[in-house]
Amino acid sequence: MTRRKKQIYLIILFAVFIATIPVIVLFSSGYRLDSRLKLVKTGGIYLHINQSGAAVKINGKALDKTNLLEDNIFIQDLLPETYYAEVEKPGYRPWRKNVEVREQKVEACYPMLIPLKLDPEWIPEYNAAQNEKGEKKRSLNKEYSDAMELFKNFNKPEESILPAWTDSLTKKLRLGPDRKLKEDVFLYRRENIIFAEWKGAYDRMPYFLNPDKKTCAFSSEKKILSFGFFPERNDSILVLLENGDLFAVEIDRRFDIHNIYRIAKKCEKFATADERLYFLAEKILYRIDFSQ
Amino acid sequence: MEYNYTGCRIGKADELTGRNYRVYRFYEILPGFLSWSTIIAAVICSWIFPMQAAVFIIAFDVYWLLKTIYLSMHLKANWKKIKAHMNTDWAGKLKNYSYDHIYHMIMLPFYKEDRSIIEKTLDSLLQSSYDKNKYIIVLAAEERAGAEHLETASTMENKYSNEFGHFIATVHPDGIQGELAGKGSNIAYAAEQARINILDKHRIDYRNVLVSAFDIDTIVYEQYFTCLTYMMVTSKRPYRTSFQPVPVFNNNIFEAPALSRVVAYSGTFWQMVQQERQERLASFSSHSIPFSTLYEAGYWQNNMVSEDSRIFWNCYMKYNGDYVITPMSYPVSMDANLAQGRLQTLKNIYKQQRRWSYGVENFAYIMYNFAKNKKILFREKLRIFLVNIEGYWSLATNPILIFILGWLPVLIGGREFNSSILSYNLPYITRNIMIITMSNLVLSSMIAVSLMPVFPERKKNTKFYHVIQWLLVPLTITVFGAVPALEAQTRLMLGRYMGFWVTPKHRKKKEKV
Repeated sequence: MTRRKKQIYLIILFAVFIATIPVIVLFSSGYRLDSRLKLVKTGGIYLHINQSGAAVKINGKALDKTNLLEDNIFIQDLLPETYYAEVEKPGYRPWRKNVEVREQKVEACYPMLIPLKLDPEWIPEYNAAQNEKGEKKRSLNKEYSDAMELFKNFNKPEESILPAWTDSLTKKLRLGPDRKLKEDVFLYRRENIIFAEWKGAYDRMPYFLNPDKKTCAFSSEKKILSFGFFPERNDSILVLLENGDLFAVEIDRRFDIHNIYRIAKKCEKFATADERLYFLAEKILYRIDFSQ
Repeated sequence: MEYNYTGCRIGKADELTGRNYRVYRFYEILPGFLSWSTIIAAVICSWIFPMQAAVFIIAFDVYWLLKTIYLSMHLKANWKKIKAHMNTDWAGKLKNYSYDHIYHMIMLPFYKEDRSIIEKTLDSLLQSSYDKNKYIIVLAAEERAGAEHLETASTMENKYSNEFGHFIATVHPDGIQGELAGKGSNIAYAAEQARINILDKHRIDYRNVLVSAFDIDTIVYEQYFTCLTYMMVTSKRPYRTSFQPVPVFNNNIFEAPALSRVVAYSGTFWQMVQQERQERLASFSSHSIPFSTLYEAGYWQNNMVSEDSRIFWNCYMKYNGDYVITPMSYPVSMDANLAQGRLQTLKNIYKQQRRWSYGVENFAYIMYNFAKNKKILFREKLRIFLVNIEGYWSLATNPILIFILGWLPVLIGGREFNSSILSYNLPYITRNIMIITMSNLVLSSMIAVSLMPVFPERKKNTKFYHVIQWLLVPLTITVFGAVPALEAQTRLMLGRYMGFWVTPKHRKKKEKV
C-alpha cells in the first residue's frame, strides 16, 4: 500500500471517527431530532418480562415482542410524558401501566404475567394403589405431607446455607409471619398494610422500590391473613385476605395502575416452594405450577 | 560525549549502575505502568464517573472498529502482494543481475527438537530452487541439551554436509558468563564459529553473505532464497537493511487445535499488516541480514530474550537510525503450537505469546540508546517512542478494555447511572460495534484458508471449522494476547526478568506443505 493511499485512508477514517462519536454519544444519551429537526431529549422504558412471546404496546401501538434470545424489551425514543404500556401474551392476563418517562432516563418495569386459566391441580392426601393380590390399598401422598410441612414452616425464615451475615440480618429483621425477606427485599405488615423496603446495597436497589421511603406494597379494607413472596420473584407478593381471596400483587407502586390478580378463592392458607404455589381451599390441597 | 554503541548493548537494567541504571529502569517500568494505569483508571472511572467512562468506551469501540478496518486494508494489500510474489518467477527476474557471488548462511538453532523436524527443514532447503553450493548451513546445537542432541547434530552433519556448499554443526557451550541461555546466544556463537571456520577459511567476503536466522521448524518455499537474493541485489542500500519474510504457522496446521490455529494465524496477520507499514516494522522470528552488517553490529545480543527484534534495533542504533527492514511479502512456514495434550498446547500458546510480548524489553533499550545517541533526529526518536509505546499499550490493554471493562460502568456505575438511557444503550452500542468489527473476520478466515496447505483427504470435512474458528478471536486476543502481554510487562516492570523459553515442537504426522 502506498504512503499516499495510507494517508487518504487515515484522513477518511479520522473524519469518520470525529463525525461519528458525537452522533453515537448523543444518540446513546437519548438525543433525537424531532420533526422540525430540533434536538430533543428522550427517555425510555425497560420491561423485565423474562418470558418469550410477549407483545409490548405503547399507547396502543404494538412495538415489539419478546423472543427466546431477548426476553426483555427496551423501548426508547420516547418524549418525556406519560405512556400507557401494555404487555400481552396469549393465554395470560395482560399487564398494564401508565409509565412516566423522563428525559434521558429509563423507567424499569417488572410486568407480572399470570396465566388466564390457572388450573389448580388437586393433590390428594393418599395415593390409591393395588397390591400384588389385587387388593386396594392406599398410601400417604408424599407431596401432600411435604406441602403440609411447608405450611407449618412457611412463616419461618429460610435456613441459610451461607454465612453468618445473612443470619445476623435475619435475626435483626426478626423474620416471621409478618416479616419476610427475599433477595434483600424486606416485606413487613403494619396494621393492615404491607410495606416493602430494600435491605441491600443502595446501588443494587431495584427500581420498583422507592429509594427515599418505604414502599406501600398493598393495603386493603379486608383483613390480611397472611402474605409472602410470589414464587421465584421478589417484585411481587401473594396476599391472602380474610374472605379467602388469594391475590398476586406487584410491589411496584410508582405509577397509577397497581396490577393485582386474583389467584384463588376460598383459600385458607398458602405456601410456595420454588415455582410452585400450594394452597388449601375447603380442606383440599391444590398446587399451581408457575413454571409451565 | 560520543555515543558508544557497544557499551549500550544492554540486556537489562541490572547491567548498569547509578543514573544509567535509574534511566533504564524507568523505561522498563513505563510500558507496564501505563497499561496498569489504564486498566485501574478504567475501573475507577467506571465507578466514580460512569457517564464519562461510558462515553469513553463508546469512543474507544469506534476507534477499535476504525482501526480494525484500517489494518484490514493493510492485510488485504499484503495478501495480494504475497500471492503475486508467490507466483513470480524470481529466477527469471534475477537473470538480469549478477548474483553468483551471493551466499546464504542459514542459521538453524535447535535445542531438544526431534530429528525428523531438523530433517524436514533441511530437506525443504534441498528442494528450494537456489544453487545449493551457495548455502552455508549452520546447525547450532546447545551443549545443555545433552549428548543425545549433540549426536543428532553430528548425524545431520554427516548426512547433509555433501548436499550443500558448506555445512557446520556448532555446539554452544553451556554456562558462559553474562549470557542468557537461548536462541540469541546460540546463534551469535554459531555465527562467529561459521565466520572463522567457513567465511575466513574460504575467503568469502562478508558483504556477499546473507544470513537467514531461522527457527528449526522454518520451512522455506521453493523460491524463497531466489526471492531474497533478488531483493538483496536490487536493494539500493543492501547493507542498511534486514529482510523480513512473513511467518506462516502452518506446518502442522491440520493437527493443531482451533485455538492454536487462530492464535497462529493472528500472529501471521499481524506480520502481514506490519509488512505494509515499513516504518513500524522490526525483524521478527525468521529474518535475513547481510553478514557484514551483522558482524559490525556484534551479532545477536546474547544477554536478552527477544534477539530477533533486538538485532534490528542494534543495527538501527549502530548506524544512527540509518537502518530499515525490507518487507519481503514472501512466506516461510513454521509450526503452530502443538503439544501432546490440549491443556499443554494451551499452556505452550500462552508461554509463547508471553515470550513474544516480552519484546517490550526492547523499549528500554531503544529509549536508553536514544538518550545516548545524539545523531538520531529528535523527530524520529519521538515517532519511534510513540509507535512503540502505543504498540505495547494497545496489545496489553485494548482487548481487556473492549471485551471486559466495556461493561463495567453498567456493573459498578451505581443506581443513578443505571437508570440513565446511556447505561441501557451502552451494552447495545458496544455489542453492535463489536459485531461490525467482527465482520472483518470474514476477510481473516478467507486469507487463512488461502494460506493453508492443500487439505489432506482425511481432513476435507473440517474446512467449516477452519472458518468458524474465527469466532474465538475475542477469547484469543484477550487470554492469549492481552493477558500474556500484561504479564510480560508486569514482570519487566517489577524487575522479575524472564528467561528464554523454547517452544516445544511437536508434529503428529507428516503433512505435505
